[in-house]
Amino acid sequence: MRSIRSSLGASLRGSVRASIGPLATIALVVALWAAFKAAFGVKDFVLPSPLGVLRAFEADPRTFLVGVRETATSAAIGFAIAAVGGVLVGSLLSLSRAVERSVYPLTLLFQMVPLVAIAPLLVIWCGYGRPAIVASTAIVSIFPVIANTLAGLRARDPGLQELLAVLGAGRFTAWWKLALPSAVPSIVTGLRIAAGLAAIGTITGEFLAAEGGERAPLGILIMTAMRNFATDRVFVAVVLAAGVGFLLFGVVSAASRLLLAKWMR
Amino acid sequence: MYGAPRNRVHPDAARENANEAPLTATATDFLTLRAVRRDFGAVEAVAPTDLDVPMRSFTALVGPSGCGKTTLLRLLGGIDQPTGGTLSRAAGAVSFCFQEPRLMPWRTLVANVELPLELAGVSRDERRRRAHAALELVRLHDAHGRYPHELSGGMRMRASLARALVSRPQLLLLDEPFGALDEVTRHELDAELRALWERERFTAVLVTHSIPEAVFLAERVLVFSPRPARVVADLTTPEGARDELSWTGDAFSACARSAGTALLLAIEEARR
Repeated sequence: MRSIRSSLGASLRGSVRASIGPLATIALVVALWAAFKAAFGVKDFVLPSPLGVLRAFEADPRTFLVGVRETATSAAIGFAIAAVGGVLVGSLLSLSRAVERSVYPLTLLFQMVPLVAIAPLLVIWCGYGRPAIVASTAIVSIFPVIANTLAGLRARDPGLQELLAVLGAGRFTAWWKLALPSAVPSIVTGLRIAAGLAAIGTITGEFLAAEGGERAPLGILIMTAMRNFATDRVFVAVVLAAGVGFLLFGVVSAASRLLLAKWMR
Repeated sequence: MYGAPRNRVHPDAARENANEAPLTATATDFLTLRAVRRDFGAVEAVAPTDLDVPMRSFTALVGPSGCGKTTLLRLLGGIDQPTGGTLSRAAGAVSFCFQEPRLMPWRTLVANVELPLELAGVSRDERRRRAHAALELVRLHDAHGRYPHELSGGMRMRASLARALVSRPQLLLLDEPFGALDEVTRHELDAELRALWERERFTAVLVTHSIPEAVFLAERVLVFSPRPARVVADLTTPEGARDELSWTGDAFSACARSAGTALLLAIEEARR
């Protein structure tokens, strides 16, 4: 049996090897960016230099780190709500074919409504502040969880289903012992997609519903910097926002890989 | 189809009129079938069959693929209902062992074996203990913490057998349990299953399309015709414990030969 430590070590080594290419690409893009700015003498407020962006962060790290904390917290809470809510809704829908057929298409339709169009409503309902931001995050990330939970719950092994029937398992027992565990790989995929989407929902929510001041999140920092033509600060906040999204995705992916070690055949 | 001849398969002549007798399982028979049939719409899967399966016996049902013997096994186990006739089954736990291991990939072996007890509401300690005992029966105890994907096909099938045995069944129904394994592993598991039965003496009914396997494992071999399944031979296999040499022994070969001949004749007749 492979120990968890050795599989962790292997996956770490694997991810180091896998990140060499992207890191090289990033270095190349940054170099081209610096060269482009120097060659054409682009003004700082249009395009700051890579070094200028770094300096903008260094000049005011506290504000940015508070922004990261605030945005990451909203993203994490919103994602958690989407994860739990999505699995619950998906499970409820799977209990009845009729309900699934009549409700599931509507959830798809609902997903088509652009978030920026709903966000003002969230402000009306939840007011300014975290609840609206968390709601915006959850709305964006819940759909892949619902869809993947449903798909996973449907994909159970007919042989095992018959076995449970022979063993006298009822509907609920069969769901709990077979359908749900069978759905885990699919649910995990949904959670990873949701984690990738969460930061998008958070920043969008912050644009419309966040308040400035001491604890301004990244979305507000972006808007404020934009209004002041502090392009370098916009860049810092954007890079950090991407970092928040990446972090959440990374944590969920790592957790899912550990969990799925059991499910691998 | 109603005029089709009934299968008379109990060797005991005194039972000729048993279908008129009240249909409660006797002390000596685990299963009693009278004119049991199963149709799927217009398709007759099992022709009216009379059959008695004595307590603690080992019966094998042999026949060409798709002849309805699996359907008959499902009727015996009560996971399918006959469309005609009467079937009575003595009280007692019934277990199935399928052709595929049907293990849950997310459970360790011991947790897989525990499943029937878990569903029956047996306490955690008790079912753990019995699952370990069942794994010991099939000599898989060292692998109890492993996951199915880490095991060979033979080991998975052993685990499946352990799961069937863990509820201490009085009736074990085996549906080509080793059909998907290679020849060597299959012989090995056949020998173990036979030894297990000699020790535990549950009532066993095996479906297989391998005549040598049927003769090796069972005390009694019923040969079925192509669909609709009808018994064309009812053979008693050589007595006594089995070992590796049994496969090629004279008595076994003779028994397998008569079963084979009956099967070939039935297939030829069905073609005509």
